[in-house]
Amino acid sequence: MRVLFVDDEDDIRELIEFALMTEDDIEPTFAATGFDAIATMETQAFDVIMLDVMMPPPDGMEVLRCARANADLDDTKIVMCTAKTSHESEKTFRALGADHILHKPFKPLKLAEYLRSIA
Amino acid sequence: MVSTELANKDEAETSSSAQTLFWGLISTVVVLYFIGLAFLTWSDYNRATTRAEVELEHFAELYEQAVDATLSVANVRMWGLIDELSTAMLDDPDQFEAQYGALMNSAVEEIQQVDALVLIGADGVVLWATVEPLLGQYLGDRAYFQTAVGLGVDDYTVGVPIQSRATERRITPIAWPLIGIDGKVRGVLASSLGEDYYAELLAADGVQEDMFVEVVTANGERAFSSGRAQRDPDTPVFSARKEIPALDLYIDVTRSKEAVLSSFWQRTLVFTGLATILFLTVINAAIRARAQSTKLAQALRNSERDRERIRVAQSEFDAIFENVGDGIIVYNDNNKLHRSNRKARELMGVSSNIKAVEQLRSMIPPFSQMDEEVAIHRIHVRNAENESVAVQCRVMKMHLHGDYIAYNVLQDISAEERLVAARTAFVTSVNHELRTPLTSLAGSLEILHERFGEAMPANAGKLLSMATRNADRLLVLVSDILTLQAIDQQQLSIQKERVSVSEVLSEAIAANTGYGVNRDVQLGIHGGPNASDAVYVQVDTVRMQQVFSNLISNAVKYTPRGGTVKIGADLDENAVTFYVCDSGPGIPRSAHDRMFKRFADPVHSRDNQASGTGLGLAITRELVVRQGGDISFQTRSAEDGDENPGTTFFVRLPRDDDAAPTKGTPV
Repeated sequence: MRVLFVDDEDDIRELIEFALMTEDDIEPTFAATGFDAIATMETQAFDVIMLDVMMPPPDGMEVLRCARANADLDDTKIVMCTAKTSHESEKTFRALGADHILHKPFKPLKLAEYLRSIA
Repeated sequence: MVSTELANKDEAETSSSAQTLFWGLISTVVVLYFIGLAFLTWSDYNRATTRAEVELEHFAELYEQAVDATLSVANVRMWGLIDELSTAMLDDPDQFEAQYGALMNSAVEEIQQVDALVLIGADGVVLWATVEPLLGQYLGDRAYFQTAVGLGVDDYTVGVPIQSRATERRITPIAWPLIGIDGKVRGVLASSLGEDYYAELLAADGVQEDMFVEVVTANGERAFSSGRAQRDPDTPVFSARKEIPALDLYIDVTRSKEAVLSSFWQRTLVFTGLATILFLTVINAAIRARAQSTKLAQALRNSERDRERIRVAQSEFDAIFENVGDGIIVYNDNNKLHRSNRKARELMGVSSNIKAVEQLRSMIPPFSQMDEEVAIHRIHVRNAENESVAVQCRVMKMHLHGDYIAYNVLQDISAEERLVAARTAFVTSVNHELRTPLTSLAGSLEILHERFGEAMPANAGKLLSMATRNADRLLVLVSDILTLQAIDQQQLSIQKERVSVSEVLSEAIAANTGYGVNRDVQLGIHGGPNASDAVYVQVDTVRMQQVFSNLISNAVKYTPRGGTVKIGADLDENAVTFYVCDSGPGIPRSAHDRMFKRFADPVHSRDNQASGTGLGLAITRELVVRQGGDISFQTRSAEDGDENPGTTFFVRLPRDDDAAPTKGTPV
């Protein structure tokens, strides 16, 4: 399973990398900025994209819009990772084409299980 | 107020003096009326009596003339007879009878004024008589004989009534001297006044029924009367007398006062009655009119006072209206009413009422299309300084005097909006800034523990556990605080969907089994509907799992190792009651009140070591209440001496079985 993780926090990316190190069926790719993510999406195919919402522009929403504008990514599941508790934003995400919402903080060690369950 | 009281006093005095004046006037009028009435009656009485007397005089004169005339006629005829007899031989009654009997008899027949005829010789002896018994009798002693003997040609005399010697009747004698051709008196021709004739003459038919007419002779005796019953001499009467001087006869005409005045009394009674009724009606009307006018005057004064009060209230209202902190704009649907206050004009950046109304109308939907009585619009206006101001416009639509009027209250909410925006930004930023490093910290500690824990020295492992536990605790705390803040700021939205009770329960078990495994506590469903049962509730699944997560983690925390936490649902007709039941030490009675309070003192002393934030149950309750349910608990506390301690929390939610399942569709 190819998964693209988009998060501007180095620590989080590193942590996820650590957590998934032992999971052979998951092949993670990382992007540190929205631009990076959009560029990566253009060139590679993914089963799942995990998008952090709160990033310096372009933020998670922008990236989501781009991803959903790209027909090649129609089969790709997009998961929005957010610390927001408001439902309003969740509605917006779903309206923009997000498949799942993952509330932060999540446990890195349970991430693999989660990814398998949604893929 | 003082001036009003004084005015009242003045008014009272004025009205009381006016009252006195009015009643004085009424009394005077009444007295004058009765005096006038008495005077009228008195003068009418006088007139009636005078008239009666005059009338009687007339009648008396009439009768006098009538009697006089008839007697004159009788006299003429009698003298004719006397002329016939002037040469008669009066010595032999039989010869006289033979020669003049027929003449005499026909004279008696023809001259109705006399009843009989008696010829008395100069010696006083009756020579001839229509009444047999008188023949030969001596009547020379009669007064009428003696008077008649002394009379001359064309004269006659009427005597006083006497008792007839022949007929025993009361008669009024009348006598003529029988004067011979030589001018000497040869005897007397006597008769009595014809009773029937005079009775008829005096009867005065067609004149007043009650009138008595009498012919009275010189000695006061009554010769004839109008023929009716004797009049009672004691009855007061009006009377008139006329004399026939040549004969010493009087005509008396009388009417009883009672009869004469009866019509007067009737008239007076009717007149007085009618006049008094009329007068009293008028007086009554006057009194009523007066009362009405007094009331009217009072009402006028009251209305004047009320107007004054309204004027004061109006100016107070105007002052408040103009200066109140919120903007107010009033207009109606035919665009004739424009009103605004200072704040409204400031907000709108205009200086006139019409402009304020026009501007507002261009910004909000026409109020004629409003379905509700009240609508709230958020608009942005440009004030005089050309700044954009967020305004909440509350439109109240009222139907007054057949017209729809819109009352708009404008509230400057820009400050409020800025504050909300600032708060939201703060919450979001704290959320992010705190959680991101905490996530990294907790995650890395977890991985460290999982992957490298066994390779660490024992003491390092202990420190790692401590660090992991506290990092988790900090995460929960931050999360709880942010949740509560969201709740307090009404930013926590609840997205209800219809889910089956069995689904809620199995999700609760699945999501929270981890807690139990860590502490060697069993978690199981102990009752509730089967998956096939169509028992549904309306909940926000995410929030509901948050509720279960809090309750189950608490239950697991307090249940001894090897124990069981039971989860289930009881059903009744209207509601589903979820429960989470532990076999922990229970909650002492002293702690019951503060169970759902924030940062309450810990219930058990060992909570200090346990990872509690003191917010869990407060949040849980908020989440349950927001979903339309309520939360409660039952407990047996070891501390209170119960042998079989444990606590059960109940979350009661209304059932929603009717509609088709709509899972996943936000409601």
